[in-house]
Amino acid sequence: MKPTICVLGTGWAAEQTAARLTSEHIEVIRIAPSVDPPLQAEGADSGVIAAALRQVEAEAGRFQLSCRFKGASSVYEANAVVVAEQAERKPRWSAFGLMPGEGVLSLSEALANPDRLPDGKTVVFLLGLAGESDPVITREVLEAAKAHAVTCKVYVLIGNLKVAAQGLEALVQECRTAGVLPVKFTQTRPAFRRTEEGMIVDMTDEQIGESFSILADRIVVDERFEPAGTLSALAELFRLEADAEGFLQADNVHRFPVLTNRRGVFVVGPSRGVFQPDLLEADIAHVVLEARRMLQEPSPAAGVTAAIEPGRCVRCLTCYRVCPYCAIQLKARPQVLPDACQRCGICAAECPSKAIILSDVADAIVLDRIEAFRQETASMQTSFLVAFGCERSAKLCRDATNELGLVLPQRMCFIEVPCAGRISLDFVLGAFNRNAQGVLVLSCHEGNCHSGQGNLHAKRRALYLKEMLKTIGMNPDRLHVRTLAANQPVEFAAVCHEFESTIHSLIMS
Amino acid sequence: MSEMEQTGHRRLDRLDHTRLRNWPFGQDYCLTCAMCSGSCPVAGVDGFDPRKVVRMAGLGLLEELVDARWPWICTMCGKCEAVCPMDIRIPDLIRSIRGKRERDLVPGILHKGLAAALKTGNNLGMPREDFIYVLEDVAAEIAEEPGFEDFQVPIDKTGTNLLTTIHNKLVNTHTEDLKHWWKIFHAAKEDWTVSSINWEGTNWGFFTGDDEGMRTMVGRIVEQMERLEVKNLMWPE
Repeated sequence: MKPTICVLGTGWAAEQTAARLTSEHIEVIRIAPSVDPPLQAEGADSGVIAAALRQVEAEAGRFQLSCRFKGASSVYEANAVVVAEQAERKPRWSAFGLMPGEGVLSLSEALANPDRLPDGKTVVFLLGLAGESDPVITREVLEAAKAHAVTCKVYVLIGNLKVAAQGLEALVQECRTAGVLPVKFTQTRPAFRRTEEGMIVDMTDEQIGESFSILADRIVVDERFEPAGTLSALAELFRLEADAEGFLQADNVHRFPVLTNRRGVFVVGPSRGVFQPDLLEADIAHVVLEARRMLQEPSPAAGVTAAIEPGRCVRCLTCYRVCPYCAIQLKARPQVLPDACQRCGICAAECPSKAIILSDVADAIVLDRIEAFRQETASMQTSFLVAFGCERSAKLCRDATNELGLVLPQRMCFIEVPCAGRISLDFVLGAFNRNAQGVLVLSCHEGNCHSGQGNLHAKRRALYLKEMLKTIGMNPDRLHVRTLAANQPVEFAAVCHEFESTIHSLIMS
Repeated sequence: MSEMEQTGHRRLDRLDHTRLRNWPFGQDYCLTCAMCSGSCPVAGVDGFDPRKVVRMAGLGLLEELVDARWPWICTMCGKCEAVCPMDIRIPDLIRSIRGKRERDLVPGILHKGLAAALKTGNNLGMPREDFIYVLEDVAAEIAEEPGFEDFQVPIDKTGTNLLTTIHNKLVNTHTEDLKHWWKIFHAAKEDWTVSSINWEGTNWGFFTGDDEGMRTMVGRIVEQMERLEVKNLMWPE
């Protein structure tokens, strides 16, 4: 069966995405999402459906998108969704205290009307002086500066110069050859004032430390990209993570570009803060690959995903709230979508009714392993420790200690979990209950959790438990929480030994 | 008085940034990385910084550069050029700035020495007979050493393999230093000579940016090679 992908967006990014997917023999539904239902019904002419998205339902490998038009509604089905909204351009007037007007114009205006920079004038371009610049804006400013340097006296006042794109370093040189004079600012910034003579730019040339002014006939203010207005609504509807600026797909070192926290939902180009047209092509190619893989292969977690026991669930929706992958579907009662579940186990650890089972790290299995270890090692004289560690970091560290010949504490039971977010209160208390003298909780570094906040969940629970230990008269140092990266086996061994000696001295005292 | 002048800022847009654009040293391509400043052995002396020189040249501040002491602090070692990622020819740039200074204002003895050399053939203004006397005196001292009994200095010998120029200090304060070379020539059985006129090996036209003076001094050495029909030149400067 031909797979169907829904492309959400209005501009060139959506257009290119749809065209490319079509050429890959994928059925494409194009929706131009709006906040309010649009006036016209389905825009059959262009093949783009203008609609307000109202609801998204996900079944195994299938999304149902409920759309509303003026006075009507429809439901569209797709195997995957690509968010390909345009970004919006905003001139940085306020950063410089400038207002558009006589002699002051935005980059877009200057590009659209070259006549607004007439021959013989002194033109000042601003680039990357407020916030981060971007290769697309950089290219536009430099091209314009170069072109006008033939007939104008052109200055480019530069803060942050982003040249990491094809041909941009060469363009900087071409500007110099053309006679553009750059002024680089690192410690200071230029100031602007309007006088009877005209707009004046006051500045220090930081290289020679001398103060200069320019009587500028024209000041061209650079622009920044902002997320499309519809993006925050789409993020909410699809429950996608956004970065600080509001672009989708939050920075996460464990996630490849275009993938989101939600399986089957992709974000490309200007919707994820990438504005270079040539990089959009790469994004789309990536979507094609990922979509194919997703449609052909079963979920990587198939068979061992979380499952909710109907009899125990009280429908508190904690699982729905904490699942970083939006894998909990709300029907008459919550259900796990096996295709979306990536078995982090955060839901199983958080569920107040203990209704969620992740079969290979179920409470009984883990605690039985600890008990068995205790019995096997009962004759050892050293402290009995239990270490819970994430399989993406601490577990890899432990494997590496074998290869490196690093010795670990003799009587330490290591329990690997799919994510530190699975380390529940019951795991830790269960370990103490089975006479563990110390318990280690080892998660990934903050900001590095594949499941977003699993490590933070683990930390929060451990700190809570330490308070609880105090209350019942146990030394809180018997529980220790640390973060590790997968490439820190030496640190891992050191943490374990240090903890062993801490426990040893606690026992002795 | 305009408002802008009251701030004490110079009008950047009134400068002609294109003034030095025909100097082929690449100064306009500076990325401001400061590798030159970091490598310069005299950076910081009287505030000298090769990057500042490059920037001032790019802005067209020629008078300021010509009047500054900076270009004369540079030792022309060339480390800046070796490390510059944009291949800016900073020593050549500095040399050209030096060349723009009025000759009477060239610091120290550099210009006086060059003027003497252009007039007399060497920076000291040393007469030919005095020069020959010193060379023969040094040769006589060498001949007193065992193994060098037959040593003579071959002045103005024609058809030899090698002509060597003489740094003026070697016939003034550092005559001992002549002996090392000469003894090596003797031991190697080199067929060599030294000219009795226009023998000066130091070319202060190079250091003061005086292209014309430099060319004259070089031309004279070529003349001696032709006069004495010498195949190779050793110019130990």
